[in-house]
Amino acid sequence: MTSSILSSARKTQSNDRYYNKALLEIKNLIVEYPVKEGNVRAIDDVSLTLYRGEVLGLVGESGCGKSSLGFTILKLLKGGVIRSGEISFNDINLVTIPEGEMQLLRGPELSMIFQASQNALNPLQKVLNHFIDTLKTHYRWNDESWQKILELLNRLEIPESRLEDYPFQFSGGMQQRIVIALTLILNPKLIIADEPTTALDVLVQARLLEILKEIIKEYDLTVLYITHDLGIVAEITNRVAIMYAGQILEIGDTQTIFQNAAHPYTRALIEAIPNVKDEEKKLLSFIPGHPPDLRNPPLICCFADRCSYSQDICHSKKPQSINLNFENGVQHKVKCFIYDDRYGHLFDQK
Amino acid sequence: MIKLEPELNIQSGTPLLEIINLKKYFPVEGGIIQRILPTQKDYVHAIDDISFTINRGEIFCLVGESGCGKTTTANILVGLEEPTAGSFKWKDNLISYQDLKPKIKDIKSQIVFQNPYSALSPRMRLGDSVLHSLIIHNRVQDKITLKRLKNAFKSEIILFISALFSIFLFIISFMLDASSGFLIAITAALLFTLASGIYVNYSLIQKKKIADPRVLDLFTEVGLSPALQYYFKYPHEVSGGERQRANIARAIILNPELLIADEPTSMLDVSLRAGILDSLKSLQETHNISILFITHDLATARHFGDRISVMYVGKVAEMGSIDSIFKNPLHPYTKALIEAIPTPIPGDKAYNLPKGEVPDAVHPPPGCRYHPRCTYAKFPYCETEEPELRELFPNHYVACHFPLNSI
Repeated sequence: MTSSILSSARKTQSNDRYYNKALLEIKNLIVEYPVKEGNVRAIDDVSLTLYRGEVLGLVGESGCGKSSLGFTILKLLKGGVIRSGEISFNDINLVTIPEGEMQLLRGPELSMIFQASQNALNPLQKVLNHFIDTLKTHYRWNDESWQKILELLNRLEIPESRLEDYPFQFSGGMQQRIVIALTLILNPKLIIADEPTTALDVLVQARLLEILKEIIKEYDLTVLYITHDLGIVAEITNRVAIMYAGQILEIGDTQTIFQNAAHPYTRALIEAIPNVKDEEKKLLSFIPGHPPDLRNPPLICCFADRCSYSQDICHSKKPQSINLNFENGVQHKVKCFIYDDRYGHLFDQK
Repeated sequence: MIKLEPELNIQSGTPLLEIINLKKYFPVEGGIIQRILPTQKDYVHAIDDISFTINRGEIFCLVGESGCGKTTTANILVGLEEPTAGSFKWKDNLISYQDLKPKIKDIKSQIVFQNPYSALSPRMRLGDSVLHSLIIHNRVQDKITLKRLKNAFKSEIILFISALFSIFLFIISFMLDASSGFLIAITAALLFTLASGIYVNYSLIQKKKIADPRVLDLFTEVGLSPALQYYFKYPHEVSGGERQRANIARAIILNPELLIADEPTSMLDVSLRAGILDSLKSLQETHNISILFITHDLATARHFGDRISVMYVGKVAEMGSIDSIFKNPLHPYTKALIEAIPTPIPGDKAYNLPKGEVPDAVHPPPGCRYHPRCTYAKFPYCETEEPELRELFPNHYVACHFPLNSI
């Protein structure tokens, strides 16, 4: 009863707030890393839309291309080559614009929070200098800046007295907060958060997630949250994209993904996470095998070898992404033959 | 000071290893002036007087935030670190810490490290890595096994030399350009290639004989099958999960009675974690090993362990069976930890999160070490008096003045 009310409330809210205007649109993006033995296809035909004001979680195992995608959007990719595709941000195609213009976008428009924050801070500079440097580099230093720095510090619960300290004097959680403050000081529209809480302890992580949630609301940010932890995704995101072997296998509303996942990989992944609040001790399930080699991948379903539902068709063709209709009206896409009208009858159970 | 109460020993199952009042302080090395001047030396209180018992055939979990002394405990138990004070009881034999190091081989403990990428030698085949631990511990009595190891390399060298020689003959024959000499050279080269081919094929059959049957059996047991294929692979050829399995095999092959697993799954992906834990559990059951499972992930501990000890800044905060601790956490810290873990349920929120950070272990706070962050702390009592570890329920110990069931 309550859940239906909640879901209907969510529906109206979601239609109002999100999905009005796309901020970032990625179309058929292919990124490859040339190596000795061929090309490693890190991102394989990814299409993704980020709407204004939403938090999109990008989940996947290590080596699935989620960080590569983040770096590609900022064009900070080292060693990788964009083979084809389009990334449009506010109607600007980021793939084709020259580096000089991209440099103007990085910071005030698009920004990134990196995984290891301690490496993002200069050990020889006081924290205050970081703020001044960031603002001066982007020509945004003015009389109100000081007020703004103090306001942000206050918001992120960093004591003012510690502005004169060096980064090493801060704990991991505090350093990450400083990095977030440095990102926010330029008022970016889109933030790519690449595992910002991975290196932190649970208690610190929980506190930081709370702060992040509040800030996203207050500053009306659009966030691409890259993580491997489905628990964090459940807590912070509106929509989730599940990535595997360079492809997005499923994308949809967070609630739907967790309660009614369509793709076999998503289901297996959700079952594999231990829940600390379970009443009974239970045997954890796992996915046998390991992700495929991305050097010159064959044109079949990338999850076919590990999938418990796989049929002959999965080993001979590549599935296309299919739109699913759920009650709440949020677009839900899945790349699996089970949901394809032409091949669905080949699978006994869904 | 915690006194070791006799109740601490009465557990289901017989105790394998008792740790009594273990302490480990690391001296803080100051600058030059501090070293010259006779100032008071500071110490990091990594482990500050902890006691616990690991029973036979159980999985004992040690959880806590980073820097709480979990890994130091593990290192002490395998002899990589010397404790400042404390004693051990191994199967009812008291061993003082001074005798610990020479006796570490008697205490059959082995460790599985956190990072599978750096724990294996990149120049050794997986099988050789596992066999190597047998050689180090003088468990390879027969010299044949050692010879086999050397033979494995010999076959490759012979193939390489014969290939070089045949190429050399070809070149010579072309340079001489004499028809009869050319024919002779061609036949000789062909013969050499044939001979080397036969030798290599033979050595492939040999490989089966080279591979140690104990290692092969264990590889199948830890889930590395076909074992013969994995035996001759190098670490860079296999994935992280498979490397961790080889690490486990290397620890198990010495038949330890106590296996120390220091965050064995934290570097692995979620989809692989349960697989590794599964094989650990089945190994534990078949070989009757006790496992000291060290982790910061309470969710894994909840589904994998039998008993648990929660540590905070070098002290045990709460200890007991997994079920009773997770259903009924008595220490505010344990409760906060359980609350703070993100669950895979959307809309689930954490409440009563403690503020602040883990205190400095050089100058730990007086009284209860958790009181500066505790939301339930009552002053000045929590600030001055150090709580003792006491048994509130059967097999459920807590070090708190105001445990949560009394509020």
